[in-house]
Amino acid sequence: MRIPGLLSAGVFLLFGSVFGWLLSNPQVPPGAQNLVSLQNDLGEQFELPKDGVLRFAKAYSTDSNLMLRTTYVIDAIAPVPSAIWLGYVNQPVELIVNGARMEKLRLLPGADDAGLRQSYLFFLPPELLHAGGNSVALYFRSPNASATLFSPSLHRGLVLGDLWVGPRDQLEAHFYQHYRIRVTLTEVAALCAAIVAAFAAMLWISRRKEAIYGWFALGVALWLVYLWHFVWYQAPFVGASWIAGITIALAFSLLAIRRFVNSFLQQQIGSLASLKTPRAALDRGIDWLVILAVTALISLSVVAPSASLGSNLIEFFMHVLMPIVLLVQSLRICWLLLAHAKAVRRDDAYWLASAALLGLACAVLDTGTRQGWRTELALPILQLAILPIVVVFGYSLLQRFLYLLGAIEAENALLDRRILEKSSALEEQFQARRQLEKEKLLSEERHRLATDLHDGAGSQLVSLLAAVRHSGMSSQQMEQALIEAIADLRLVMDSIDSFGADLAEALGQFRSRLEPRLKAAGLHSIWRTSNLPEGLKLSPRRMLNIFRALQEALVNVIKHAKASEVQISAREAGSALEFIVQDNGVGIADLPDKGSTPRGRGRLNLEQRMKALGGYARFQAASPNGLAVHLLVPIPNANETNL
Amino acid sequence: MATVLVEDDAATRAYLFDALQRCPALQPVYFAENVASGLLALQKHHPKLLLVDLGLPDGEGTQLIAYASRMTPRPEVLVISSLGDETHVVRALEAGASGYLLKDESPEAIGQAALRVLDGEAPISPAIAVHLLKRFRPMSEPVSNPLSEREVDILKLIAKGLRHDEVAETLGLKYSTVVSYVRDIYRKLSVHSRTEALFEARQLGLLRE
Repeated sequence: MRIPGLLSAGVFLLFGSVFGWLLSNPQVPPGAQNLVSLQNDLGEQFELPKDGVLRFAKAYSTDSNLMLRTTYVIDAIAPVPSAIWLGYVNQPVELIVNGARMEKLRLLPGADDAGLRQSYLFFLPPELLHAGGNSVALYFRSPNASATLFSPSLHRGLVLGDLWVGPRDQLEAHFYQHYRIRVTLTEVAALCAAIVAAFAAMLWISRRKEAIYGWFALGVALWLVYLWHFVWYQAPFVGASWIAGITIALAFSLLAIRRFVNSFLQQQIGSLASLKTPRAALDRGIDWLVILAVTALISLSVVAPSASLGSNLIEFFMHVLMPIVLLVQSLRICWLLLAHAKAVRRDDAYWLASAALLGLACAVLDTGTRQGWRTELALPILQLAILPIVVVFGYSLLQRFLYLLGAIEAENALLDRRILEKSSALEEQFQARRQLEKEKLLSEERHRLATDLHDGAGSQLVSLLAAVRHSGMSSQQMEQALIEAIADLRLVMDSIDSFGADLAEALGQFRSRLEPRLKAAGLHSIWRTSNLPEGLKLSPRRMLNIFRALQEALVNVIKHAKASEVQISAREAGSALEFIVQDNGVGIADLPDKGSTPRGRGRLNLEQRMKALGGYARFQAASPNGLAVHLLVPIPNANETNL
Repeated sequence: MATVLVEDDAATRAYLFDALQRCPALQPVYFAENVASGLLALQKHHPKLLLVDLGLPDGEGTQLIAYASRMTPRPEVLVISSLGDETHVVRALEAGASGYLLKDESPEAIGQAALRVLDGEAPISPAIAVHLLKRFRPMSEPVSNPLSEREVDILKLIAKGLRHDEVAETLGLKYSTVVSYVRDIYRKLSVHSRTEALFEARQLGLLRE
């Protein structure tokens, strides 16, 4: 079920505010009593307000440690082990009960420095207490001894926020409640923030063009600096400078987070213009305000750390200007996120705005506490605000990632479907085309066969018939003519069989056809055809024409050369085939003119055939005697039409 | 040493009969003009040599070839081919013929071909060699090629038009070895085609296992 965005935001806000309020206002343990009246060694009397702060406006000399002393009637809690809780003390303190120094339990372990409002728990051993009056003495170090700049409350004197006496178990529970909030919860927040910052930094390193992750990592990392002293109580350098440092870190953290929000929203909605908030100019103004305030603060603390004017100015910066700067930053961030939520009305937008508002609420509460508008007893909680912010932004980034993942999957599915459709369409086209080509090939082949039969054996038979009818022929002439017709018919049939065959194989078949004829004519034939490359394929028609030409050349040798031997060689010469038919007969010496004699006609026929094949025939005298006929036929490219 | 010639065309029959008559070694020559009379002649004369045309008026020449290849002693069979087209010849070879004879050859050539086949030779043409190479290839893939490597080599050379003597020279074999290889190939072809026929018949459910 989907929770409506506004409702979820409302729940978040309500829960956050109540939780924050409760956190920052720890309850007083029921069985404890407040020590309301204190007296010091100088005879001064102090009243401890019930839930207020005891302020020591007066500065005491360093020579005499200030001592608060009171006498407490311990009878009321004698049966149970007792304890004393000292809350929000800004100076190191010692507790002496009936002359014995008590062991103390610190809220912030190791944090004994000035400037941190520490809380202590002292257990009072029952054997030390006696009925009637017990002396409880508190020794503080003089505030001036370690008074440093920038410490929010130090310059006002000693702060003692709370002084409770009561049953040990209740005060101990109270103490650990504080511990959980101020220490444990803060550690969790710091850990989460550190993990998220590291994750965002890694994202940024691997995707430099998306500055959004860089800003987020920077913002969270700077916030971690602010968190520092909540987790590690020893400041890395001198107390006051460190406090200034974390204030500056907080200011820059907010600046980075605001830039992150800017880029984030830009990515979400394309342009900030649609949000109807003043944009670049305002943001630039705020940035300059931060930079100016921080620069002034740093230079003042360097130039005039102790001068009274400097101190006052620093006071002004720390307690007036910086909070204003931080507030303005936070307001701007909330403004942007609220405008965004209003514009897009999506769950994650509401969550983002709520988280920002929560952070703002924490900041306001803390400021209130610090400025004295709220009780000093309230715990600082701004450091915890990073937790919801990190969670919500993480959630938002995750949403974005999931959305992108879903979009990619949808795109992929669409693409797959389209590819499938396209490929099946292509397959159909391909099949249709193949069918068409097959039919075309078949029809071409039929046509070729008809032509070949007509031009070859057919016309030979017809002319033979004419010759027989017209003039009569000797049976020898007729036999010769029939042999030739049959030979041509064989060539045509072989060309059908050799469809798709290798030229070398087709030439082998041709050889087996011609060899008996040559032998019958008393010619010894030598075939040098084994040099032809394997896998050389020509179209059937081209093969037929080549073999007809070769046959013609060989028949010429049989009829006219008066030779005893003929050599037939074939080889591949570049992009052409070369055939040589060489005899040892009468040779070229009496080679007659073309056309005028039978041999001349044979030569003319051969030249015409070669021309049709795109090649040529060359006639050469062979040594010592005879004729060599060179036939050169180009090998067509596979994609050219084969003649 | 009788010869039986089965040919339905009278002119061709006369021409071939004359050509065979010239060879004393082939005498006597009996002839028949169809399958029925051919069968009778085979049973009666137990010839050494059978010359047979494929297309006969009352049946196929292959019937006679198949019959002859079951006879003892087994006659050599030459199929009479008009144009030497290998589809006809291969069909005859599958039935058990040892070779083919071209009708238009000179009488001397016909006589010599007949004598050579009696000597154990097997005529083969490049086209037939190509056909055999193709025919054995697809069946060979799953189990084993019925042809040995040497036989394949020989067929490849014959396909390129080399004569038996040239093949022998190229492969460093004796002429007679090449001849017997070719005969082996022919025998394998006929066995192979019978196996195939059986296989197909089983596939079709015509035969029980």
